[in-house]
Amino acid sequence: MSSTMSPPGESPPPGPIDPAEGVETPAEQPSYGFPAGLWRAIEQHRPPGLVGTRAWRSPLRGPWLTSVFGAVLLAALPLVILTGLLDYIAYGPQFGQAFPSNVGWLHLPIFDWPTRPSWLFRLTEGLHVGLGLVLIPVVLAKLWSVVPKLFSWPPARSVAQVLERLSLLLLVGGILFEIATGVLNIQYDYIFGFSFYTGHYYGAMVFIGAFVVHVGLKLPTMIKSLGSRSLRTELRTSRADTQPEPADTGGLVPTNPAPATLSRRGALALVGGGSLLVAVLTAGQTIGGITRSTALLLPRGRSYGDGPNAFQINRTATAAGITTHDTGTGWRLTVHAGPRVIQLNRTQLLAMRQHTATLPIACVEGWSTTQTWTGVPLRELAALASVFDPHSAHIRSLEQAGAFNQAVLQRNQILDPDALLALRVNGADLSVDHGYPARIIVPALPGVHCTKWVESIEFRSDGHA
Amino acid sequence: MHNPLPRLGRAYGANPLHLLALVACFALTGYVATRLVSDPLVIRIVIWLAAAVIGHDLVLFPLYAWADRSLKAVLRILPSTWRNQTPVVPPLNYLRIPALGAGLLLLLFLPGIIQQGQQTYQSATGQTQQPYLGRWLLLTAAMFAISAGVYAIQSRRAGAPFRAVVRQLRPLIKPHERVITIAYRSDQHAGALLTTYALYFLDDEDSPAWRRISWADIANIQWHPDTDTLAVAGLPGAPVDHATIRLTAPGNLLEVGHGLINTTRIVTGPVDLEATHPSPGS
Repeated sequence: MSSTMSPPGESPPPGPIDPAEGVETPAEQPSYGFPAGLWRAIEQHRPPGLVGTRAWRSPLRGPWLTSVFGAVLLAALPLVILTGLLDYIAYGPQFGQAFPSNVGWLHLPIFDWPTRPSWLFRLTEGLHVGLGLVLIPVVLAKLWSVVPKLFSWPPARSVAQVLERLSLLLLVGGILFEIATGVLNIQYDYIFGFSFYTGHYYGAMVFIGAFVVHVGLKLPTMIKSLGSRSLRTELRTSRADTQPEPADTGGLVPTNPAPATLSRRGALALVGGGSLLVAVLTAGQTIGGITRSTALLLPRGRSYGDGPNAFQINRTATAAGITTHDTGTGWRLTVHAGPRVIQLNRTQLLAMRQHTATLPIACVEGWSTTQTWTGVPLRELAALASVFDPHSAHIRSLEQAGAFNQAVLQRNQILDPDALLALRVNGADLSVDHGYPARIIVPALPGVHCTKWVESIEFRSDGHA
Repeated sequence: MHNPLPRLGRAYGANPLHLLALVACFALTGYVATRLVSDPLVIRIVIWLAAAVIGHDLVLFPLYAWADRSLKAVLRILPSTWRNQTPVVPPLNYLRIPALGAGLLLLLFLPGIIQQGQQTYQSATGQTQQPYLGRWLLLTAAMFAISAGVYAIQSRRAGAPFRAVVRQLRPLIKPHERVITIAYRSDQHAGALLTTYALYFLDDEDSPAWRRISWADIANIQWHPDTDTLAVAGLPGAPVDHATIRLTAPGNLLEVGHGLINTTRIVTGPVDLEATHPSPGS
């Protein structure tokens, strides 16, 4: 590895240099970094009770198998990372409503999240959560495949190895942290006690850094190892014919292998089967329709019975502290536009031109549901207040507390013809749990910004931002 | 001009680029730490990061590795009657796979299954977590049941040649005899069959025919690896004096056979196997 990573343009190094030098120094010919005495002393002081190399007996462990899992993660994790970052942008960081809101230099490029295609957020969030879950068996298999290294002695023979081990701590800690917080969040279990958004965002930054470095350091090894065996041959090799990989320098191949209880083909099928199982039990919460009931163990695989309002609720009226008094005949929508203030009751809103659109509502937990909404286009409400070129709209809910009792919409999210102040859904009045008397529904807008129990809308033109 | 880089690289233990990449990685982590340090809950984030690594490396991994070793150990000490039924499909993976499936689902969907976070769950969805434990148990039951079904089919398929041989020999085998094992010849046909009372073998000296010799009439059996034959020495006066059986491999036939010869001797009286003289009882 070291020779391929020499700085470009450098002449061949003078003096003796061990080509095997580097992190993957073979155990049988140890070479130590500075100070050699320290590393040698560490090597000689093996803690009693530490698992010996002969205790690792699976004949399947080896650079090839590890590299197969690595290649799958290398192909898929960037998609999980990218969709996750896109979802942050979808929350509208320019209005300070993406969490964590102040991330310093770690902020992402800001652009107006599009409203088209209307399933954009459904896709990015569904992919982020769905693919993230599907990759968990692969992550666990990858960790299983390299676990002997964790217990190998000495832990390091140079400063380089110490640093690389520390970076692996960030890599493994980072991905397990992201998995743990993500898996808990989609099940509304906040046992971790810190803000999910803060933890998941900064955890991602730590993981991404460690991941990029790990890929940079290990990519040549991965490519070489993948080429060491033929996948096609492995897929044809039965358990009886399964032999360990040739002895490696990295300490993955067992020195004392047991007979195979599973072929490599079987191991890949087992991990793939685990991923498939998770996929089958997850996809329904995003795809919806008849597949929804297959999400047997997820909150959003459940039925809400029959009827126009029988679809997934995100935050009940009770939890939001919404009372019948708030939503009764005394309710008025207040529209602000500069100094102008207009108040409209529900009858007046229903008397305006009604527009119907079939739009998905998608949430950060990866689930979505598509319904047919009817209401007043937001741009017509803006026009009513004589705002023809709105810059943004600040929506407030009747809800007093709660992180999402208000939201700011961008220009395109007001002007889209399907952007609605919805009054009805599937031909019936909204139920109070779905935001009666009126709620926002905008194509491709994150579900939590489709504010329910709308109390006021403030349209802002340029200069009022 | 002397280039110090190689010497530095050697002292460090890797290429300088390695160092630069890692320093960049740690600097990023350091920056994240400075962003978080004012957060009153930062300590929880750090604890969860550490717990994630410890939880996997020092709890989850040892736990499933130990469970797997225990499973293998239990299967090894199963009653020998389970194992002597030839051919046996190893049950290990038929237990491992559904157990892994159930474990994976438990790990991922634990909050719902143990009803953790009831209040936030109810606020968000308007529902309770009541169904999940039952659903997980049913999924677990389904995975084990499917595995059992596949195991039954595989065992039946693997046992088909065995049963065909037993069927063929049924007229010879007495009702109280229990078939223990079969050994095969290079032409894939059965060459020998062991029951609790007798050794049956295909005698093809003239025309192929199955013959029976009771363990009580056998002095010894021996495997000759050079000719791939099993030599049977009968006791004097036995219906079969000696026989040579061609087989690909003796399998567990020798072990089981010797055990049965000895058991029969104990029942019928002691005998010196080397001398092969008739025992008082026979």
